[in-house]
Amino acid sequence: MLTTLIVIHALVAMFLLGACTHQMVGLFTTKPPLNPSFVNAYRSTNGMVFVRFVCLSYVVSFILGAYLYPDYRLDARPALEEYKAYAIVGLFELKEHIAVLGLATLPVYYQTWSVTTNVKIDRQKKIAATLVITSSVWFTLIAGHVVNNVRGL
Amino acid sequence: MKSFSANWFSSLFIISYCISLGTGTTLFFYYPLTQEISLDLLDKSHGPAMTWYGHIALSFIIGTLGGLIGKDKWFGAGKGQLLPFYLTIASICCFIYWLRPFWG
Repeated sequence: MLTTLIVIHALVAMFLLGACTHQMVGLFTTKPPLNPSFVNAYRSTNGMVFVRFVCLSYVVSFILGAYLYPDYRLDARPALEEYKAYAIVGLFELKEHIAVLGLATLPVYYQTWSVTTNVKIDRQKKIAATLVITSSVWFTLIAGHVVNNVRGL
Repeated sequence: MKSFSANWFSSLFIISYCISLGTGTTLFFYYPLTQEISLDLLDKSHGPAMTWYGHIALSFIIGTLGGLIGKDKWFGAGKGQLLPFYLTIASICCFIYWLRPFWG
C-alpha cells in the first residue's frame, strides 16, 4: 500500500512537472510559431487548461505527500539519523517547506492567469507565479527522489 | 459576495508560516506513533511529535482570514502586486538559514 502510494505520488509529481515546465516555456513565447517543429509545438500551450491541471495535481500530490509523511518520520528518518545522513534529513525538511510555499502561491497563480487588469504587471506576475510553482515542483521532485534513494519507505 | 483576495491569502500564509516555524508556534502536535493530535507536547512514550500539520493549519487560517478581509487594491497597481513573490524568496532564505545545522 505504502509503495503504491509513493509511486502514485511520484507519478502525479512528474505529470505536474511536465505541465508547469511546459507552461513556463510557453510563457516566454510571445509570437506564433513560424514553422512546425518540436520546439514550436512544445511551447504552444493553452494557459487556463494548464493552470487548472497544475493546481489540481499540485494539491493531489501535496495531499499524498502529507499522508505519507508520518511513515517517513517513523521509518525513514530514524534510519537516516542512524546513518548520520543529516544533510539528507535537512534536504527533506527543506522540501516540505518549499512544498508549502508552492501551495500558498497557488491562489495567486490561478488568479494571475485568469484575470487581466494591467498588462505589464500581469505579465510579471504570471512569470513570477509560474516560476515559483515550477521551481517548487522541480526542487521537491528531485529532493524526494534523492531522499527515497538513500532510504525509502 | 465579496471576492477573495489571493494576494492577501498568499502573503499572510507565507508570513505566518515563517513566523510559526521560526518561533516554534504550532496549532497542534501530531504523534504518528500513537496517531494522536494534541495541543500540548506529550512525553516521549507517545513518540516523535510532528508540528508541520499544525504550522500549515495555523497559516491557512490566518491566510484565509486575510483573503476574506483584505482587498487586492491595497497592494497598489504596481510592484506591490509582486509582494507574495518577494515574500517567497525571503522565506526560502529563512528556511535555508534555519536548516543550516543539517548541512554544516
